[in-house]
Amino acid sequence: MPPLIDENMCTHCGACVDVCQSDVFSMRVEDTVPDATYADDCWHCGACVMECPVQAITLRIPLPMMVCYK
Amino acid sequence: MKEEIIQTDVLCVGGGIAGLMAAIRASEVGAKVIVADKANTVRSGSAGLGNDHFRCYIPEVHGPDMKPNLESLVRSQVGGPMRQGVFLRTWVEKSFDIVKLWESWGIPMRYEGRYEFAGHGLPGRILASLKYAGKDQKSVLTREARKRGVTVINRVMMFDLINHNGNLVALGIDTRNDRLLVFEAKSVVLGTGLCTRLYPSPTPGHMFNIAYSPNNTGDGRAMAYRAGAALANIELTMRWAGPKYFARCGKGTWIGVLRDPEGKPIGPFVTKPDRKLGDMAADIWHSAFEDFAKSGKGPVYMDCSGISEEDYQYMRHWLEHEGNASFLDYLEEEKIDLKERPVEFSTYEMHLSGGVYYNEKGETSVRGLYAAGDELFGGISGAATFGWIAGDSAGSYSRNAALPDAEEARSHIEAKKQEIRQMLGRARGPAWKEANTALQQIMQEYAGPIRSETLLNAGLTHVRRLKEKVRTTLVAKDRHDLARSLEVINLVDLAELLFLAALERKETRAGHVRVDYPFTNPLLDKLLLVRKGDEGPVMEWKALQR
Repeated sequence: MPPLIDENMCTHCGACVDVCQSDVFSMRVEDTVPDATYADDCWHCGACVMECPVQAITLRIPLPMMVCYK
Repeated sequence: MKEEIIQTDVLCVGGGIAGLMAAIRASEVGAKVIVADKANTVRSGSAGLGNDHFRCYIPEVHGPDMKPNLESLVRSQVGGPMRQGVFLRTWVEKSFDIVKLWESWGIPMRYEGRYEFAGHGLPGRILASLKYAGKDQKSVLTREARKRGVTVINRVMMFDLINHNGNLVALGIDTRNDRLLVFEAKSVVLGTGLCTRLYPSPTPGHMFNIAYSPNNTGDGRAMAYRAGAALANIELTMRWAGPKYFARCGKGTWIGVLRDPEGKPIGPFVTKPDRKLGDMAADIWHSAFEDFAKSGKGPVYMDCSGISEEDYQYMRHWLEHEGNASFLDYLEEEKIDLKERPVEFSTYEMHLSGGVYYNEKGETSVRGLYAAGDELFGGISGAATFGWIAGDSAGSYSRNAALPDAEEARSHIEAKKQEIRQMLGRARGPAWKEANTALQQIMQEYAGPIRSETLLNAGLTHVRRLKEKVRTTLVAKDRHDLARSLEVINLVDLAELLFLAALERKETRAGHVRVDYPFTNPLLDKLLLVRKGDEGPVMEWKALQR
């Protein structure tokens, strides 16, 4: 689900771990790619996407959040 | 469990707009200030991703008479009068000072060099919402707080406030490490935002798909009540609306027309996209989307077709500042062009509009305890203005107040530590989400869109049983879970109070629909206060002065 981190781009800086207001991420082992441990708590606000200094994060919006259009 | 005792003049609980503004001001008047935030003040809470409109009165724009602005504010109060007249006048008078402050700190409060008012507008009436670029507002406020010597402690969830003979001791847990923080504070400012997650989100199984921050769980309200402060109109609820299934605030930012499937506007205010007005239909007719669906005439669309390219870019710019960046990214990815495609709008779940009672000085009914912002709904401008005022009051109060001694509240602290140890130590039992889901189910069925004496009495019994289960069986497998569990304890406490207050308010008012009392009683144009008494919750009606 929610935030996807590109492992090749991630510099392990921990910005996403720092800013996520839902505490989705954790860095279990120092200097590794953060883990979206509590993905169910994601608000899909995009703070991690905004704060990632190397644009390594994208959000995948779950299907039940589909926008209904004409 | 490691315990750390921290002394301060002013403790700001919650580092949102209100908490940070309170911290900045309290520090300016000479107080030692700490802000404790459950997440990180840079991006936490409902304002964490930004906002784009700030209710205010600017004499050079609106003219020397502030009455039309005041009238507009009175009308905007969800559920009718919630505030004393002096509170509303203070808000309107002070709002421009706050705008100027924010501007001096680098938050862009002008558009193309001028103060720009747009959105939430009625034809022929004044516009009270100032457009501003708030995407990074919280990093600016955090920087300004730190610049003044404020200590910001992130990842600490404040969960209890002990009022020991008038001395305030506040407890928080580190959400990532084994640490209990005990604050001996001369004064406390509560600014924990709204109370969400009491009612189910419109998307089954996705508890966090809601318009306001799902991490705001009424912690300040629950703490205030336990410390003896009065809560006001806790039974009144409101519902926001926006894009169906992708819950976001910001409908006032859209430039389009709400239309039925045949293309007929649902409201009388606009017939084509209007940059200045938006479409107020849903602001005024709160149940429009449901009414259309129930009558078989739905769905209702937000239709931006016919919008000029310039207005379209203007709308996108402001949606981004209103915290809708991920929504815009999604539209792009899915190739949904708002210029061509009307999107369905719907009403979201209920949440509380009532909360901690505080006056025009930010004072609650307990000495030394202050509150601001969405502890009683007021939006961004209310949070900024009364955060500042509450900080001024708390800072001044602390000059002559004594530091409390946590040791006097030792037995209470030990009891809380024991509860935490039990939650972390139980081998089996329900996790927080299971308990939260059970609570939402009861709230929706017994204190939801339909309320009556029999339903409320039955629901109260269920909530009390659930409360007992939550207190004695909850299991937290780690620190994250522990914080969520403490949130659920707060939610259940508030739910019980909501049921009691909903039984007491024998009328229908806004989201409080008592089918056994189907009209709004003008004699109940009052605040219903609830506070902790020796024998349980005590209720009192308080008149409102215009």
